[in-house]
Amino acid sequence: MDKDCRMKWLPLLWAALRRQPARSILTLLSIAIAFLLIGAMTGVNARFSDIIERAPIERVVVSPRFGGRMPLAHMTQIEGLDGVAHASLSAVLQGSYQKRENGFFAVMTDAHTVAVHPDANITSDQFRRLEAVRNGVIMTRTAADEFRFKIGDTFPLETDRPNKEGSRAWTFRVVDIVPETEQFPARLLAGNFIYLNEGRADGRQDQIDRIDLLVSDAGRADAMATQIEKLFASSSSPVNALPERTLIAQSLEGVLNMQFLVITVCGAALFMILLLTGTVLGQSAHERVAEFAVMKAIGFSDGGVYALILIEAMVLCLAGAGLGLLAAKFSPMLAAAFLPDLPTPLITAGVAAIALALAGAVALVSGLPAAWRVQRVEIAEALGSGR
Amino acid sequence: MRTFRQFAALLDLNIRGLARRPWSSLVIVVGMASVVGVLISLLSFSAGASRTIESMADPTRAIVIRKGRTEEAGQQISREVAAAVVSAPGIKKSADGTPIASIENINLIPVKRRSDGVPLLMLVRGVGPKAFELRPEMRLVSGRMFRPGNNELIAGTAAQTQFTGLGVGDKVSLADGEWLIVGAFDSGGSVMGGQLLGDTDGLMASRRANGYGALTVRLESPAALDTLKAALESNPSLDVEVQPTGVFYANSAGEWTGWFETVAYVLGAIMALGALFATFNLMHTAVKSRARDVATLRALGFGAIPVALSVMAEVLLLSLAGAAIGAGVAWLLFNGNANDIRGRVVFELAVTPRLVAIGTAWALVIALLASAAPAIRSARLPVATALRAS
Repeated sequence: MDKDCRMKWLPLLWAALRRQPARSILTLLSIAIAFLLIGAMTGVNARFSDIIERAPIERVVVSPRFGGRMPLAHMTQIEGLDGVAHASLSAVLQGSYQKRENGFFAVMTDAHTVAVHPDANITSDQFRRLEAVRNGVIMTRTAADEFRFKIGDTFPLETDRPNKEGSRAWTFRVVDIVPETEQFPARLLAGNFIYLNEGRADGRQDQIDRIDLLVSDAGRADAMATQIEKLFASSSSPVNALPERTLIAQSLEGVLNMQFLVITVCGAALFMILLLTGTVLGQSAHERVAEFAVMKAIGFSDGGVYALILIEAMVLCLAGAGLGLLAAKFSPMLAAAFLPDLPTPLITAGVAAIALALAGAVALVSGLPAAWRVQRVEIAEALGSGR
Repeated sequence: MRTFRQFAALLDLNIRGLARRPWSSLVIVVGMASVVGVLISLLSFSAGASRTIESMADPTRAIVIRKGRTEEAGQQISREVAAAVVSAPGIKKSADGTPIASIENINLIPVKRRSDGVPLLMLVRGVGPKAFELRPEMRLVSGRMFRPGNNELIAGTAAQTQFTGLGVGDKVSLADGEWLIVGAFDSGGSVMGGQLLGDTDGLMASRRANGYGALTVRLESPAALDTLKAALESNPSLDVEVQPTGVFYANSAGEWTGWFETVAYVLGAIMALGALFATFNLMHTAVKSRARDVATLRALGFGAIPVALSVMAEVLLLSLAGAAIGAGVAWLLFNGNANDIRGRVVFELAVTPRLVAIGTAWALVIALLASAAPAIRSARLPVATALRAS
């Protein structure tokens, strides 16, 4: 085919798409929606992988093996282990401010948390200020704005733990306000373990919920976890120790079999648009038999005509996929407004590449029935039929 | 009557015509099957979880927990408080004259999910001697009952299906060593089926705990709930609250079932929109290609309304067929499949009649929305123009 002929393809393609504008637009929209689904599902999968991969490999979480609490003495033993760079303990005080719905999660911890959780963005200076005020807490900007707290304010947290004042309300003083992050969500409070430990009147002094530690050699996180489990295996309070990354992976897999959901939903969507574009292109080719006959009569090869149909299919599918991916990309904004609990898709280059490759494959396959029809066009017959 | 006869004749004609357009009919059927299938499959999670939770509801059963608690786990209730609760008014007495109450605690043990090997924590519930009398829906199906003080457990059949290593004769590791599984019980579809049961005091001793988590009691009558509430909640030294079991368990799992439902409806709605465009697209073309036939019929005296209705009825029939296929596939693939929420609640996915009805309703609404415009267009086609057009 010479260059001149190629120049005519664009108008031909444009004419083909404009032949039935309603049909082209509706097909495009269906494809876009299918790829919104595919983008959203594979994007959420990518989000999960991203969360898992960003979790520090060198952080190990130690918790009581059979639920409940473990003795503070475990901390001393763990700190003394070879290969433990930093270890920080915590006990959680769950409670609410004014109303039950205003729940807060107070993590009562120690200064080592600054080193163990660099991703929480609390500086040593900030923690020093916290330690200076026994009942101090660091809270998020989000919570401070919601309840109109400012630094220096005190407030009661209604909990289920009695304290030495004979009440279950614990008084906290805001010593700092920090931006909300993934590691420091809106309703988290960071407080002093010592305030809880010495103030509690429920007979659980010197008991903790969890120890987080950093290993000095990231490659040894798994081995360290196993070593710690063995260390306490025959104690009165055995523990679970797992690298945080494993723990996060398990908790994501613990709810939904994501892989299965992705394959089912994407499979259904793909199958459906494959049928749809195949049918629509077939219909379109059927209506244009005379047109194809003319093209063949003036010297277009079968391959040339098929290429035209294929390009038409490609344009529809790729444009639809592009629109769908864009919608998936911006869906987190919508989701954040209406459905805050849903995981948001992460449209990476990989996700986009897979979606576009699928769109290309759909275009190739769905163009086949139309191509078959074109190949069977007998020029004289088609032109003579008066269509 | 004439309108109906015309409608029936036209519908018959349309249905015969489907064979000439097998692909576009198939697209509509498959589209609806996908929407309904995905929607029902996803909803079967929350329906199954809710059914398991709802089976805990019994107006004559109540749970007593530490004031403000939302879960049974914990060691908030001392022996003295437990003893005071058991002797409170409103609790039904057993034939031997003792109250039907079970003092319980919750322990966690690591297990692996059978289907994918994911490690999870499951519940080991310590129960009192009246646990089976309190929950008559439970019955032992193999082995024998555990003997208190002997480090023995019995396993729920749902737990045995969902997790590995819980067969009768298997041993599980607890804080004080190995405990033997000596029997298996059917829970009658309740939450207990996903748990291991053992004696409360033995389990408490195993981890040197010094308090219970909760008590479940049989009430003399549904009205006795208030009697018990009044007796216990007015006493600040007990520091407990009383809730109907149905309310308590619905609150504790409601968050997850709600989440599952949101996911189902969001994905279902996106798919429905796709099917709507596809159906509208194909019917638009179908009506256009039939313009001459319709014009001929109109010229013969067929009314506009039967013409429009016949188009809509055609789409409705195709959509119903799709909905039936979608619901059938969802039922075959998922109904009765075991699942769990992070090891804590084990349940079976349930494709219930209610879900099938929801799916069918969705398909019908999509069909109506997608076919309305093409139907009206078909009916309003000027007869002369359509006949003239070659």
